[in-house]
Amino acid sequence: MKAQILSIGLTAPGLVNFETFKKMMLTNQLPDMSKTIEKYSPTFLPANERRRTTATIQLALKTAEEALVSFQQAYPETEAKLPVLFVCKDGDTLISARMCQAVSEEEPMISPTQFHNSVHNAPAGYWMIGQENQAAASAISVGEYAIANGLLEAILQSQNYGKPVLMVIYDLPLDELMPVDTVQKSQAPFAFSMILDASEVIESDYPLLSLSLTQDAPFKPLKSNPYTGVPAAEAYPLLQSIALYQSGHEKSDMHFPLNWNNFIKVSLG
Amino acid sequence: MHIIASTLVSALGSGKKPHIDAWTEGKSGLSQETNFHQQMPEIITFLGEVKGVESVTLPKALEAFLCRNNQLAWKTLQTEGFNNKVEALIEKFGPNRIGLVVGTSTSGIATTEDVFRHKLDADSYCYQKTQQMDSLAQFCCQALNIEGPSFVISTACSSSAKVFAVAQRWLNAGIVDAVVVGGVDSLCLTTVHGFNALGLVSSTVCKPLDESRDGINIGEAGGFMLLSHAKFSDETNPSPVEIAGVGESSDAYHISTPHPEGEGAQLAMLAATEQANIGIDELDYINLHGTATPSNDLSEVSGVSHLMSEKSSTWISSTKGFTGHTLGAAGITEIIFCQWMLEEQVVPANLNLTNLDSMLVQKLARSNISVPLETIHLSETNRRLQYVMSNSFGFGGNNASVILKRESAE
Repeated sequence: MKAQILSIGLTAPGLVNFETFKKMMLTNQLPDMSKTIEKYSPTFLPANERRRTTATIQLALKTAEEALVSFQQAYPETEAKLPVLFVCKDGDTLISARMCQAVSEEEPMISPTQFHNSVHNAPAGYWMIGQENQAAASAISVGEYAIANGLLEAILQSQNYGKPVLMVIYDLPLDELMPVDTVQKSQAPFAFSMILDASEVIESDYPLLSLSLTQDAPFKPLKSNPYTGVPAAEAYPLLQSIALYQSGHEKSDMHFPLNWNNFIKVSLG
Repeated sequence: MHIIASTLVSALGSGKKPHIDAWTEGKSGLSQETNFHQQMPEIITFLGEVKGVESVTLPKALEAFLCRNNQLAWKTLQTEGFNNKVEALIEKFGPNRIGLVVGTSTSGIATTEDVFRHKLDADSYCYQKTQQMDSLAQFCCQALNIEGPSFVISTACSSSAKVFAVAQRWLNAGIVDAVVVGGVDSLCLTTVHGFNALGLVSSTVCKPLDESRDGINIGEAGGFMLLSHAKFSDETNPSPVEIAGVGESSDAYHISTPHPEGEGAQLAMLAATEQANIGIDELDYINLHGTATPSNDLSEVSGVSHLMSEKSSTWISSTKGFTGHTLGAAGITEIIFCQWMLEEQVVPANLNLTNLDSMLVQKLARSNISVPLETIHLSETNRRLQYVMSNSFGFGGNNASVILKRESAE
């Protein structure tokens, strides 16, 4: 399975967008993880909808918007109302924790806005409203196996619909109110997006992605990934390879787990 | 895609027979006195509860997954010998060649509610295997020994209809030989209180399409189908029904209110008919999303009537009066209903409908669409069902329509 990367978006502490990340990688700098993610407001949404978005929704929308804007700049003639795929392990745990707390009260009261924002496809819903886009929109969860499953599903969707697909993989730490250990609450948020096209007819400055299923993943010493934690951050080495691709640094295959004993081999070409 | 096996558990019972019996007798699974009502004394409504879910025990190796949602999943997998049919295909093709894609809206959130309500000790709570949104896929893969691609789709009430599009993609790409699709959603306090806060919960039994309809009754259900491109000669009683088309779309209108003319719904229905390679008038029956909220039913019937010509004699009904709105499981519940309708040649009643809303009558005036008030057994008529469609729409303006076909009309 092959797909052309047409554009990329990236958001994490110390990483404002993919272009900045690329410059850092080419000049051998490391991102400053102590920085918080810049404030963002989805200006493409009507004001009343914009006000209702949460940090989780904003992270997904910001990263989606970056990929779409650079896609529109590179391909002004191409239809930009693309099918979308949002991949996230937990959804909005700030909301789910508050709702679980609310129903434990003597007089349970859930805010209507919080409730409709609680659906896993809330970012997809806001995105389609803001972009006036009536294409198919999906929202999936696949635990720690986000990268392999996200890429596979996005490429198959692009084959299926015969057009590019916008994929956004985003994860945040679990909310402090969740009754879980502190490790899961202290991870860094991470989000990246790609517009992928399986038709191979659109030319791009980015490399072509080739995917194949395999049960054999060679053991390789782990490259340092400062963002290790949430599943979306596992894309860091892939994004690094893409950033360094044109300078000829990186051509080796990468393996991402599809589940506990299968892998997707990803090659750049 | 051929249907190799299917299983369904809802408030009407476990497996095909109790469901067909309930349709025939016009008997609802909704009740205002369920066990779950004890957890929410302040809300007056009917619920579609599956009896005894809380006492379902999981095998030792799967105990960490214990929550109402996975208990209902386990009960459903054991029904109609579904697990054995999956096992037989695993033996044939190997565990890596079977995929699994399932839908849910709230996963095992009831377990987290229990921690906050001091009914469960935080030490015995396992977030990853209960509330985490992919818990159902993890659980089903381990329960069935499936090792192919798998994930959860969570697009609110269209979740377990969209799984059919994923199954098609996997089978078409040749990365699997068969796919388990399905969905499970179980009763929890957050959904009842959340829908109540939106003013969408009816205090009486839900009445889809009726002029006095005033909201939903929440139900729970689990359903699975085993799908493949191939038919297997060693199958006993193969189903004559196949999945003929899947269509998906977005409203791009509002996060929790459907487009008044059902614009997005129309796009999903058209995409499904295009894939099934039929005209919309060729549909013999449409299972409506039909939640019984004033806005959904008006929007959906508007959308249907926009597409249908005067000559199309199509039945439409909502089966939510039997099961309640099973949310993330509504898609699979009603798609399995469609399979059974085609197998048994039965059109289920639009239960609890007394007076069709005059606005809907107006919408339907220029078509030949009819809404059955009682279940129709077609063996007693000269009409047959060949193509039927199921609609599922969710928050976020997320729509999916699935068309099923009976291979050879009798």
